[in-house]
Amino acid sequence: MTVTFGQTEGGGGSPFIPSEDWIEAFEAQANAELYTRLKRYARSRGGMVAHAGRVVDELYIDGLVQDSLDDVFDGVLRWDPARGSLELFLIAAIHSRTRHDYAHALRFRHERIDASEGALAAAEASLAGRESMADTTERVLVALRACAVRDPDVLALLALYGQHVTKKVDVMRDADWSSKRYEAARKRMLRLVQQLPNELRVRT
Amino acid sequence: MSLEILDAIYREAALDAMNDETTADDQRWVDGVSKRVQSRLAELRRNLVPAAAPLAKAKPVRPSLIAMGRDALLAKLDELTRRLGPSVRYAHRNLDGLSDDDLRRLVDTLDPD
Repeated sequence: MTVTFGQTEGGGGSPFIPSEDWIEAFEAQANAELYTRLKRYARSRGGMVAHAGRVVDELYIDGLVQDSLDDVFDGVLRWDPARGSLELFLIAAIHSRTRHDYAHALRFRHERIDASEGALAAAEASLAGRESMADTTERVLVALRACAVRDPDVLALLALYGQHVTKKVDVMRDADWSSKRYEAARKRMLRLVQQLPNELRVRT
Repeated sequence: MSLEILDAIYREAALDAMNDETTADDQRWVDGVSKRVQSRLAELRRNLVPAAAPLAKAKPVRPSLIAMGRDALLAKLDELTRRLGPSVRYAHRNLDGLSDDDLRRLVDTLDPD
């Protein structure tokens, strides 16, 4: 699913005025179940953003969903009902946003500066020794591999991800696994993602 | 490269998490979002309604009709209906419900000269 960006705010041009058909298509798909699923998706994606040092709390997670909806209403993101479901479109929007936020948070790292001089000095030292995006991302992957050290299948799965082999059918072919074995390894890998070290956890 | 891997892993994790259980806090948040979405949809629908056309002011009834009483107006209406034949159509079957002014306007519409 490709998220198409329309006219951005302040960029001039005509305002977004969708047709009645568009509104009806939106209304038919937008319901409590969708918002709930999107929030769970956003919360999990927020875990990745937290690795970059950004404060990820409920406000941030709620904002991911709400902002994606607002962007669709404002025509910043152009959803075409004929091209895909609203859920897939909004998932793609949240995915893009969190990926951007991850990179942004690494570039402009959040540092808590308390009144004490010691905290300020620590923040300055931290800024001076800022990791590159590749370093940070690699650190997270190393942590993930360390968690999976006793699980050869999860390690194999991570290795395949490293080779851009992420689709089930491709993983099964390359690893010579059954569907059951793949699902079990995938489930264990995702559980480990949720258990990554404390500084990487989402704050609620 | 590493970002692509991490991104793919977290995408899987997020898709998986979509089927998790809902908390009470989530439900309250969902109610708020639902209201907001409904409000935005109503706003979009309002944008589709064309702006109201300006009301046209009725032209004054000519003095000859103003001088006519109710009976004369009803007689005039009969005469017009006979003269113009089936081309005359108006929505009022019961003329008792029309005021004298309504009758004047009706005659004026049927026979503007």
